[in-house]
Amino acid sequence: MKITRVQIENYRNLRSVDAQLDNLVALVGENNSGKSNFLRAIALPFASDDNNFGKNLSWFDINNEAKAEYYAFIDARKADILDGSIDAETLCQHVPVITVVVDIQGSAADGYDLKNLLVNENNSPVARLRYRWLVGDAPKLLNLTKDLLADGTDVCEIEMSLLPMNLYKHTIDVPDTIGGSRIPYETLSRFRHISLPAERDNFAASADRLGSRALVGLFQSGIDANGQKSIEQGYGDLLSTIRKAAKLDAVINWQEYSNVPNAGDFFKKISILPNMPQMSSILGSIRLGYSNESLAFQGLGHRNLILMAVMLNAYLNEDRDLSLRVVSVEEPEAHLCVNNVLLMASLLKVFGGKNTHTQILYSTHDAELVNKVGLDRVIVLHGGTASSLKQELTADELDYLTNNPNTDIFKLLFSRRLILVEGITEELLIKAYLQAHTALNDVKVLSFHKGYRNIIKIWKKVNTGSHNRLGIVRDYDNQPKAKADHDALADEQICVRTTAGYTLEEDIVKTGTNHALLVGKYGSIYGWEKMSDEDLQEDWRNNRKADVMLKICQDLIAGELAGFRMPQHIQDVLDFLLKPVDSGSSAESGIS
Amino acid sequence: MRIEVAGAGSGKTSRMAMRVLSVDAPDRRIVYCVAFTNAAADNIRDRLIRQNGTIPDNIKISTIHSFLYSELVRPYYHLLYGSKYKKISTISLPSTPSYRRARLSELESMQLLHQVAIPERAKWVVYGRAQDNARTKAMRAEVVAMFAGYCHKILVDEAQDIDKDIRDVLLALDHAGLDIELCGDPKQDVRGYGCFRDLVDTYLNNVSYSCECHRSPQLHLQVSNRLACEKEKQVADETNSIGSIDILFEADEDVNGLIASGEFGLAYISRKNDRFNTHENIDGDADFNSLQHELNVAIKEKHGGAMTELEVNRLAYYIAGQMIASARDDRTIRLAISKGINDGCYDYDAKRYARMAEALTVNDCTENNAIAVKSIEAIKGLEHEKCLFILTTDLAPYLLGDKTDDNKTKHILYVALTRSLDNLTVLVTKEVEARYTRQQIRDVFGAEAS
Repeated sequence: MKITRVQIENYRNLRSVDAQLDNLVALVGENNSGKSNFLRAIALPFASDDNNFGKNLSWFDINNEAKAEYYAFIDARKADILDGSIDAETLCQHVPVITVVVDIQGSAADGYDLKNLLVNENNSPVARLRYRWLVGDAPKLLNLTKDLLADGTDVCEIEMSLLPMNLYKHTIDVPDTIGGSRIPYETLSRFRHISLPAERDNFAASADRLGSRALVGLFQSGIDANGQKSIEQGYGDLLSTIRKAAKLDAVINWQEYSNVPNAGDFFKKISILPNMPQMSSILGSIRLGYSNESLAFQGLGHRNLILMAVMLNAYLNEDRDLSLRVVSVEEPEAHLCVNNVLLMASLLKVFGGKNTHTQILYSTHDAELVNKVGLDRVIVLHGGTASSLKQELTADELDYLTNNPNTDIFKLLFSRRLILVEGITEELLIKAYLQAHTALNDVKVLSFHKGYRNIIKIWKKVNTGSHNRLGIVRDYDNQPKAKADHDALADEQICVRTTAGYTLEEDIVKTGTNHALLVGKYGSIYGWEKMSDEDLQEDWRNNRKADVMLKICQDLIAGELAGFRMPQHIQDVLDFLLKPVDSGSSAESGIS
Repeated sequence: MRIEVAGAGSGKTSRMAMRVLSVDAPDRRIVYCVAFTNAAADNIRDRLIRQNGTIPDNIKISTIHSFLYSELVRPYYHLLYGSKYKKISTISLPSTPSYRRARLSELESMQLLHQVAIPERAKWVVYGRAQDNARTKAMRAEVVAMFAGYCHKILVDEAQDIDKDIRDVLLALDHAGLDIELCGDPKQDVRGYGCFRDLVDTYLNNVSYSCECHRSPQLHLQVSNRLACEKEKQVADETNSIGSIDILFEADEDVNGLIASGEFGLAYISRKNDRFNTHENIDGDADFNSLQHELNVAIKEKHGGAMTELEVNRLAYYIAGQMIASARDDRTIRLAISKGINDGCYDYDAKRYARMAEALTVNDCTENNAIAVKSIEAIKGLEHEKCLFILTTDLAPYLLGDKTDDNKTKHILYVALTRSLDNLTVLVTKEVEARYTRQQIRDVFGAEAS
C-alpha cells in the first residue's frame, strides 16, 4: 500500500503542490526549496508516533503569499467589513487554509483497510485522507476582525492578531461529500507516519545513551506481555541483589541491627520498594559496540549507516496492526563516505523493490541516491513547487537521462548558472577564464557529449519561472540545420551559441588579437612563428588539442595572457549568465 | 452459492463456528460471518473463542444489519448516490405505512438512516435500483469488484430470516463470483419471508441437508416432522432423551399457578390474547432514542444558529433523561413537555408535541391481569428441558392437518414443537377445545402422550 498522490496547499513555502509518488520517493532540490516542508506536510494526515510536529500549526506555518492575499483582501474591503456588508461566509472564503490531501492505493486485499476512505473521483473510487488547518468559527473571526479594525489600525501592523491561531483547528477527514466525513480513530490509527529525523547524529554518540528515540520505540513495540513480565521480574531480582550487596536494610533499618535497646520502639521498619524506571529509559540506556569497544568510537557516518540499516530492516517486517506506514528520512547519506553512500543506495533500492505496507520518502543531495533508485521515483522541489520527473518528462526523456549514468542530476537541474559544453577543452577554458577573474560567480560548467535538445527540454520543465539560467556552447561542425534547431530553443533563461567556424580552436584564433598573442607566446614552442591564423588553428586542432589548451589555461590563471579575448560565442554565453537578475536585457555588465 | 438446510437442534451454530475456522483465506482476505441477532453473533463469537482461543483478525462476525451498513452502505453508498449518512437511527417508527414512510424520509433528509432501511440501501449499492443511470451502474461494477477484492467468503447463519432486500444483496454478490454459504431452516421462517425457501428451490443442486437433531426427543420429532417435507424430516440423535409429552387443557388447570410454579424453562404462545401477554412491546431504549431525536430536532430549530452540534446533542440528552424521570401519566407527560417550552429550550409544535408524548408513554402490560409468557418468535433458537406450549386457534388447524400450506403460521408451530430437550407440555386453550375434541388432539401426539 502506498500514497500515490499528494496535494499540499499553503503549508510554509509550499503554496500549491500536486505530485505523484511511488513506494520509494527521493526528494531533491536546492536548500530552502521545501524538501523538509514536504516531508513534514505529508505527516499531517497521518497518526504519528512522535510529538515533534503536532497536528496544531502556527501562524508561521501558513504560506506567506496566502497570508498576503488575505491581508490585501481585508485592507481593500475594510469599510465593507466594518459596516457589515461582508458576512462571515464571504470572509471565510478568503481565510488561508492549510490543506494536505493524500490518495492511497493498495492491492485488492487492501480494499478492506481503505473502504472507509473512499471518494468518488470522476466516477472512480479513490481512497483519500485530508488534513486541514482552518478557522472553525467564521462569525467569531468576523467579529474579531471588526473589533481590531474599528479604531482605524493599519492591517499591516496587526497581521498576527488578524489570524489568531486559537480560532484555528485541525481536522482529518475523508473529502467524500460536502463537509467531508470524520474518520474513526481506529481507522486513522492504522495509517501511521514515522520520521527518522536528523537526530540520527546522536545515535550511539555517547557511551551512556542509545541516542535514537526511533530505535527505542522499535524495541518497545517488540515487548509483549510475557517480555514485560520477565523484565519486571528481572528488575526485582536485580533489586534484591543490590539490597544484599549494598546492605540496604542494615543502613535504612538500622534500628533492627543496632544495639540501642529500644530503637525499634521509635523507628518503624521502612520498606525498600522497587522503583522500576520507564521502559524507554531502560531501553535507552543500553550500549552498543563491537566486542568490547563502544560504538561511540565509530564515526558519525558508520553509526548513521548502522541505524538506517536496522530501522529499514525493521520497517520491512510487516506490522499486522497497520494498514500503511509512511517513513520519512532526511538525507540518509549524511556523513557517509562514497562507499557507504553506494551501500545506502542499494539498501533503499532493495527496500523499494519490496511491496509491503511501508512507504519511504527521503530527501537527498546525493546523485547516487537518485540514480540508483531510478529517476522515475524522483520528486523535484523548486521554490515551493514540486514535480515528479515521471509526471514531467516523457518516457523517452526519462530514458535519455537514465542512459547517461554519470549525469549529476543535481548539477544538471539545480545549478543557478550552468554552461553545457561539448568537450573537455571548452570546459577547461571556461573554468580557467572564470578563475582568472576575481569577481564572485557561481557558474557551473558541465561537458555533455550529445542530446542538448533533450536536456534543454528537461531543464525548462524544472526551471521555467525561476531565476536560473542555462548557457549552451556548441561547435558548428558545418551543420547549419542543427544550429537552427538549437537556436530555436533559446528564451530569456536559455542562451544557445555556436562557433562561427568549424570548432572552438578556429574561433579562438580568429578573435581580436588572439592570433598575434598566441604566436608571440607559443610560436617558438609549437613552431607557429610563421603560420597564418588558418594554418595555426588547423595545426592546433589536429596535432595538439588538449596540450595547447592546458597551457593557455595555466597562463590565463597565472595572468600571463593579457589581452586574450574569449571567442564571441562563449563571451555571449558568459555575459548572459552573469548579467544581474533584474537589470533587463540592456545591461552590459559581467566579466569581459 | 452453497446452502445447508439444517433443522432445529442440528447444531448449526457450532458447525458454523467450525466452518468459519476451517476457511483458509489467503493474503489477509476477509471472511464474514453474519447472524441475524446480536445474541446469535455473540454466540458464534463465544464458540470461536472456545474452540480457537481468539478470533482470527480476518474473521469478522456481525449481525446482518451491521454487516450491510458497515461493509456496503457506509463505504460505498456515497460513491453511487452522492450523499452520506451521518449515523443510524433506531427510533420507534409509526405502524401505519404512510406515516412510517413519511417518518423515514424525514430522517433521510437529516442524513439519518433508520436501521430498518439498511437492507434496502445495501441492495441499492450492490444490486441497483430502477432509476440508476449508466454512470451509477459503472461505479457499482467497480464497487462490487473492490469488495470482491478483499472478501473471501460470506457465511450467513439463520438464513431463513433473509428478506427480499437481503436476498437481492446476496444474489448480486453471488453473481459477482463471491463465495457465499447460507445455513438455515426454512421451516423456522417465522416472519414468512419465504426467501430462503425460494433460494433452496432455485439452487437445488447446491443444497445439502442435515437431518440429525441433537435436541429434541424422537417423540417430539414425530409430531414436528409432519410439518416437514420428505428431505427435511429429522431423526433424533441416539443420545437424546426419550422424552415425554403432556397434554393439559386450560379448562382443567390453574394456569396462573402452573406458570408461576417455575417448572417450565420456557412458556410460549403464538401471539398475546386477553389471558396471555407477551412482553415484546416494551423497549425503553427505543423510547429514549425517539424522545432524544425529537428534542434534537426541536432544539436545533430554535437555537440552531447559536448552539453547536455538541451543545444541541448534550442538551437533548439531558432533557430527555429529565423528562423520562418525571413523566408518569398523561398529566406529568404534559407538564414535562411544557417545561421544555417554558424553559425556552424549544417551541411548541403540535406534531412534535404528539411524538414526544408518544415516546414518553410507557406501554403498561401489567394493567390487565394477563399472564406473562414469551412469544414463539422471541424464543427462536432457545431450548430447555421442560417447555410449556400454549396451543391457540391459529396453530391448531396446522397441527391437526386441516391446513397444510407452507406459511408463517406453520413455521411458528414448528418452532414451538422443537424447543424441548425432554418434556413438552401442551396447554390447549378453551378456544381450541371449542373446535376440536380432546381425543382429536390426543391422537395427534400419539399413544405415548399423556
